[in-house]
Amino acid sequence: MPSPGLPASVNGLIAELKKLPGVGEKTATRYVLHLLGRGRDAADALGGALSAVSTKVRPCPRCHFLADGDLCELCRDPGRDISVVCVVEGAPDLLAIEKMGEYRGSYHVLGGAISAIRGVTPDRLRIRELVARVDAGGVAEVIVATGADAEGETTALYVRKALEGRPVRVTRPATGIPMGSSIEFLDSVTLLRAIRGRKEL
Amino acid sequence: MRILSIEISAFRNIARQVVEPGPGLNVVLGSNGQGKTNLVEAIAFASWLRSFRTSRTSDLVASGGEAAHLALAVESGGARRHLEVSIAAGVRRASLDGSPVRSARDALSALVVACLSPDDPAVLEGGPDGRRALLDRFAVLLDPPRTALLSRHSRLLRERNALLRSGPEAWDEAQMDATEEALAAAGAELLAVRRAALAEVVARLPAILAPLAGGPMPVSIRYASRWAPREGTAAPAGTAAQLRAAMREVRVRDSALGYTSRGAHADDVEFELLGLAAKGHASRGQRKLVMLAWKAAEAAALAETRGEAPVLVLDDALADLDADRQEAVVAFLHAHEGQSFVTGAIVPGQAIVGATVFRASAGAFERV
Ligand SMILES: [Zn+2]
Repeated sequence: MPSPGLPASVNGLIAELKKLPGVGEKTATRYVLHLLGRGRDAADALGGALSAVSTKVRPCPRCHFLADGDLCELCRDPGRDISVVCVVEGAPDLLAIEKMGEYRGSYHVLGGAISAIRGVTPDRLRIRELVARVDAGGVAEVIVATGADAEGETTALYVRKALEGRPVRVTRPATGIPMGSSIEFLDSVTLLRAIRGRKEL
Repeated sequence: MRILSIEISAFRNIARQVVEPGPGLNVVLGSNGQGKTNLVEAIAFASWLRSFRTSRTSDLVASGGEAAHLALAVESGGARRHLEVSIAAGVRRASLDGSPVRSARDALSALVVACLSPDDPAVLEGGPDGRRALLDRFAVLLDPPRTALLSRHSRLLRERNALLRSGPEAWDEAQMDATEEALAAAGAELLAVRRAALAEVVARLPAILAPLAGGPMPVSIRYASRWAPREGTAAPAGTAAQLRAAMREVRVRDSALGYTSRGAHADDVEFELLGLAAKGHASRGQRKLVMLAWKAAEAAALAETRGEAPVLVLDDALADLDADRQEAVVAFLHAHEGQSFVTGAIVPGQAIVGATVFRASAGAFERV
């Protein structure tokens, strides 16, 4: 509920912040009052940063991770092995794998996981784009690192089927991933073990 | 494993109580409505993070209160553990030794409770869902991470059902294939888990039941599945392939039904007593004895696999039994290794000898 006495514009910003994960009414109000207390420059800087993100950031045309211009930072890095593609549900999963610091291949961000319950059909994910990437050549292995929960398993099996008959190895991180877990929340050691021990899907 | 103390606040009719149970048999006496079941419900909740009576957490909070709290000191694996639980409408939060507990599997690492609730004997009379739940709960006690398998399986089932309801023209064939393949893999895994868990009970139950029943009481318990290969005839991969084929075959028919007709979710645990189906033939007393023996068999299996006897809770265990059977149950409880709780309005005199006895009255527990 909007705080009585605050201007509508301030309540509007509070309402937007509350949509963020882990931010409730109290925290959102605290952020906004703090920002206003620091004066106009602080608010403008945040506004500028936000609008830069919304105008500049596009999905990377190759891997669909966040990119500022054309290709994302990872795809532009010549040190990365583009013959290996790790398929993840979302950007947080990619960041978790990057944090481990071991993986030197490239990625493909699907943008979710298949779920009939939530109305996420396969055509709403970037599976077709993955197949096109493989068909374009140069990909030797696809590691399907979707979650070990119902949606992640279904998505992994769907991806395997979509790549069937193509000259590419399709693997899945080892079952060391605790069942039902999302990649995002795994510790680096578990993740490392799972990716090193990946098996043919 | 034993509970050294439990502090209960604003839980049902218990305003604030500290109970320090004894190491062996604990008897909680009192007439109905005084709070006996509330005490054992609190104990079971601390282990399961779930009530055996209600799925609405708001039911557990004392009227007028905002949140219920449980704080337990538990001796487990030679260490003293501290388990705290707070319960409010729609919320349950727990911590173990000060660290937040994310799921019941963590709480179960410190406190394992095998519990006979007053509703349990009725599962022998009711539908298969109650018997599956009985077996699944025990399978989780044996190996707590199995909760993830159970939730993955039920989620996949709902995924397939959602696709079925969209109709054969609407669903993506490859999505249906992938969903069925994942569901079949989970179903095959669940079948193996359930059969293994049931074998643990079946191996122990007759020997426990005979003295309780005052003589041999032929009982046969069988995992019944209309789709699965006979036990030991197929590897899990083969079982999964078989289930997948079975589901695929009836896709269109299932779509008309609006649900998945074949699979582990439709299996049953069949009980036969003295050669007759327990359902429809067993008396109240017989059902009670069989379920008591089931829970005692669970406790024995858990003691062996986890290396430590669980806490055995038998709520209102002696009701529906004649005097001889009551005595036999009491003798069993006295011989039981590990901590146990039994509640009742009246219990035979032998129950009290050598036991720690509490009298429940209006939500208070007085040691007598
Ligand atoms: Zn990229």
